[in-house]
Parts: sequence; C-alpha cells; structure tokens
Amino acid sequence: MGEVAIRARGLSKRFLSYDSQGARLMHALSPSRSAGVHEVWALRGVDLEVARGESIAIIGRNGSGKSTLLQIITGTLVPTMGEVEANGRVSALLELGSGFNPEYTGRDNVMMNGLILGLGRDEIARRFDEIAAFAEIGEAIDRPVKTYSSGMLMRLAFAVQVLTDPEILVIDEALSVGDFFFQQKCLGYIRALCEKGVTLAFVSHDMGTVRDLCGRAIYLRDGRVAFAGETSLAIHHYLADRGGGNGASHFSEAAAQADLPALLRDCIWRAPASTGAGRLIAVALRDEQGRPSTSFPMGATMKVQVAYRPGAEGPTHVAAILRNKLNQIVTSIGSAQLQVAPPAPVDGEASIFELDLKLSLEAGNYSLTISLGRLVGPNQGHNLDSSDAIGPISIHWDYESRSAPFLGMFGPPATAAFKRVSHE
Amino acid sequence: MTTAWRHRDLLLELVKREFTGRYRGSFGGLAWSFAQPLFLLAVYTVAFGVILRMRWGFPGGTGDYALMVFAGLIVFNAFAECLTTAPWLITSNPNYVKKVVFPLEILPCVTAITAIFHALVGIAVWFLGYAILYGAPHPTAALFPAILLCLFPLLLGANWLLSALGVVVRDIGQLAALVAHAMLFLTPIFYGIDAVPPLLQNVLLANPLTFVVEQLRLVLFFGEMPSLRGLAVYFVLASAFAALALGLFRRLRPRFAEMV
Repeated sequence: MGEVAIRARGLSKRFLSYDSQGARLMHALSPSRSAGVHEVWALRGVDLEVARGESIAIIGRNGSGKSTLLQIITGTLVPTMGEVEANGRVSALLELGSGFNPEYTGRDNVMMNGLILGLGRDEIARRFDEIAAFAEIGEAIDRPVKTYSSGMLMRLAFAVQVLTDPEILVIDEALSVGDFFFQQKCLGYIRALCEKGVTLAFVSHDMGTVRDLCGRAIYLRDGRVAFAGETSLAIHHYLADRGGGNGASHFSEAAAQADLPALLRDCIWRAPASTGAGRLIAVALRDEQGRPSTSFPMGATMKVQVAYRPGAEGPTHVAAILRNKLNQIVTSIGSAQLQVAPPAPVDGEASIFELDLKLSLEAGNYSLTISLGRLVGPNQGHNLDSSDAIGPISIHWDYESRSAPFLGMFGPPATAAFKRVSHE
Repeated sequence: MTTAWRHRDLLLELVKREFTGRYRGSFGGLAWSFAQPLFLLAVYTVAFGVILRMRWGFPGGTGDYALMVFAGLIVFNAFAECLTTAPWLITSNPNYVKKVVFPLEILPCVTAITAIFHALVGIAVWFLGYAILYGAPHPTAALFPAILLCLFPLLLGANWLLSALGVVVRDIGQLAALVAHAMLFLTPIFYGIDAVPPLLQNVLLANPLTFVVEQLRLVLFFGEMPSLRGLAVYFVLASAFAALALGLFRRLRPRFAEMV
C-alpha cells in the first residue's frame, strides 16, 4: 500500500508576541503592520511524508518544534506557510487529559471526548466498557476527573483516544506519566495498532521506545529537519548533537558486515560512517532473552554488544560507562577490569565485544557510553573513540507489590544466614 | 450550519451540560432556571410597578404591569445572556482550541440554544401567571415560537461576533456587560415606547430587541396578530447578520490557538 497518510510540504510556523495590546489589535486587523510585533519561528520548511501504516518518530531537544509539528498534523495549529494533509481520522494525545472537564466524572468525559472525536453516542456507549476496562481505574470512573491522579488521568485519556479506532495516532510524550507497567501495556497496544495498519506519529525523549516503535525518525533541530531516515541513525544524530557535537557531518550507510547483521539491525547507536582502525561501529543492548531493549527490571542482566575495529597497535580495551540521572559515573567496567584479552586483530576486520552487566542498581534512568581505548597502564588508557551517551536505560521495579532484592542505590553481591545461638 | 448538523450529538450533549452544569452542585438544581427570572420579575414589579407606580398606556393593575414587563424581560434576558457569555466562550475553553480538534463554531450555537431554552422556560412561567390572572391565553399566543425563531439568528450572530472578537480584544467582555446593562433600560421593557420623548424613540427603534419585545407582547398579552411581514424581514436581516458574523468567526478561527 503506497497510500500516504500524512503529507506536509514546506511547513513553517511563526509565533508572534506583542509589545502591547494595541500592537496586537493592529496586527489582528491588518497583518501587514508589524510595529511592536516579535516573531519566533518554531518550524521552518519542514517536509514530511508518512505512508499509511507507517510509524514515524519525531525527536529533538526541547523547543526544537516537535510539539508544534504534531499540533499542526493534528489540526489544532494552522501553519504559517506550507500545507499539511492528513488522510484519516486523527486521534491525538497531545497533553495529559486535555479536553477533559475536571468537574465531570470519568464517564461523562469519555462520552464528551468521544463526541469531540466525531463518534456517535451509540458507538461510544458500545465501547464504553472496553475503555473503562483498559484504563483500569475501577470505581473512579464515576468520580469527577479533578479527583484523579495524573496517572489515572493519563490512563483514561489514552484509553479513549486509542480505543476509538483511530486511523492516524499522534502521541506527544504523554506516556511518560503512567507507571511502568501501564506504559508497557500502552506500548503493546500501540504496536498492535501499528500492525493493524494505523499510522503513528510519535514524539518522545525515550530513545529506547522510539527505536522499538518506529522504523523511521525525523530529527528536528531549531525547527528544521536535521535528519530524516532510519531510526538508529536519527538517534545517533540526536545523541551526537546533545553531547556537544563531535562532528557527525557526512553520512554513508554503514558498511554491512557479514557477521554483524543482527547487531547492526538491532543497534541503538551507530557510528556515522565506518572509518578506519580504532573506531566504534555500533552498540546494541539486549535483555536476557536476547531482545533489543533499553528497559530492564532491577537485578536483570543487560547484554551490551559493541562492534568495533581494533586499533592498529597495542591491546584494545572496551569499556561501558554507566551514568545516573545526576551524570555521576555509577560504574565504568570493561575488558581490562574483567581481564579478558582481545583476540589478535585481523587487518580491517570488525570485532565484537560482549559485556553482561547485572543491573543491581536502584530503579531509575541511566545513560551508557561505550569507549574504545588502548591500555597504557593498569588503570590508564588512551582513548581512541567513544560513543554518544546512549539512553535513557531505564531500570524499574514495582516497589508497591514486589519485595526488592535490595534497597538504596546499589546491591553488592551478598549472602546472609541466621544462626542459632548455642548455649553450653 | 452543516457543521452544527454534523456534530449534532456533540451539540446536544453540550446544551445538556450547559443546562445541568450551570446548577451542578447547588441544592436548587434546575429550579433555579425558574426561580431566577421570577425573582427578578418580582423585584422589578415592586420597584417600578408598586413603588414608582408606573403603568402602561391602558387601564390595568400591577398584575398587568408585571405580565408586560415579564414579556419584555424574556427577550432581553435571552440576549443579555448571550452578550455576557459570548466574549468569554473561546478564551475560557483553551483546551478546545489548543489541545483537541474541536468544531469551535458550535460553542456559540450552544449558548444561543441555551438562551432560547431559558426563554421557553420564561414563557411557560408567563403562561402560568396569565392563567392565574385571566385564565385561558389568547389563541395568538400560540405564535410565540415564530417570534423566538426570529430572535434566534440575532443571538447566533451576536455570539459568533462577540466570541471571535473577544479572543482578539479582551476588553469586549467588559464592554458587552456594560452594553447589556444599558440595554435593560434602553429597550421598552419597563415602559411603553410611546411614553418616550420622540428623539429617544428613534434610539429605541434602532435597538434590535424593541421589535421582538413588541411583537411578543402583541401575541401574548394583547391577542393580536403580529406583523408577519415585519417578522419575515427581521428574520432575513438577522440571518444575514449571523452569516456575516460566522464569516468573521471563520476568518479569525485559525489564529485562536495563538491568542487564547
């Protein structure tokens, strides 16, 4: 099906701010007057084409125009220049519980939201039970929405938008609110919708989710498309820029290595181009079942796979540096510490380094940097190449209902026993 | 109007909410819809009919005065309700503007329909009062829907106009409240138009409510036929006004999201 679901050409969006109410009025009456009017361009000349059933991610830093683009696709904002067309019913989760009236009950709001989406009363009534069941908020459905927690609000909003048969689903960061398990449920549902042919436009800062859900991504920088294409490459661009721009400029498709295809297919980070010796090629993260993932339960083992070209001289050292939310190094561990010797390098051949890391760490988000170096002392190395900060890698635990293997920041290997006191 | 029809379920739900929502959480509930106009009528009747001893140009008691005033108030209240609500309609619903794709044109329709509903409640109360004083109403009283029908496009137009302008110029809301207040006395509600000095009469005749008030009194109170030609012309003019207002609303609509 080559049908186009979303097509945008030359989208630009200008926001105006005014010095005074007078300037605002004059400008509203005759747009050519611009005294006291300041303009900010949120989007500049964005082109976009999404086929029916395709999933596309829009990534970028805060203020790069992601949400503006989604709002234009949804139809709540009108572009200043350019045009957009969306073929199909658009369901949008732009902001938490938007379109909900806090005074009314969940039930009333579901009805209202459905009506706004253009459904008939009967249709909504028919689906109501399904929606309530998906949202898992139980009795609260008959309480005013203002009494809901943000998580409950998100669940109900998600259930309404997603269970009303959208043809195009637009999601802006909304999923970050719910608890991990509901997020999983939502993502699973979204994936199922995508498989059924629903078109998805997805904004998130969670690169793992982006990678899992979307085959293609658009990286926006300052309102322009900085990169559009395969998700892992777009993520690389984004992460590289975030780290201060270590000059990822020209791109060629990374040379496919015969023994690397699985790693390259599942990688979350990929180098811009396969250059010479002593360079990293790609990094993949897998869970215990071997599936690519960036989200692990506490205590699980994360497999880090690194494809690289060994340096021309000296023994190579590959290390993984894990940082927490505060950018503190939680651990830096690699081949030298684990005392594994690299194989003798074959000229120009890629090697793979695998590290199994048991995540005995407090639940939260972490980032991972891979570094490739040459050992010069017991704890010293000469850095050859580093990846961008990859992440967030989220470690989670349901503290409410499952007893944790440890509490606090770190769970060191430990054993314990109770002993009977012997009385003589 | 096709938009309104396409979203009729939504429109209906919104009207319902407007009705139930207004008195939500109050003890009186819907009874306030009746109590409010009755209370105001009592106050005005005491003030103007009993204390100031104002009378119409025909012999009659305080009861007649009250019925005449009430007929005028029904029309005025419907209009004033729109005047005071419309400027805030869009600005008070930012979610409907920014967060979801919402047919904003129907919000002003909701207000107009609600106002007409309130007028219907008022007329029901009026009939009750008339029945107590005089018994069965005049056969011409059955024509009141035709008069409300002529009023409807005026309300609709005012709502579209004010709600759109209210987004651009926030002062409209304050101004409209003042205008509503002035109109209470610049419409022949408490007095007959012939009791006014000739110069001011022109002002009163230019007031779009004057004609509707007079026609409503004609059919309800005096039992006379309304001016059918006048009503037809009025309906056409009011509809043209509504169409223009809708045009303006649609022109400003794309910019709401940035201004709300």
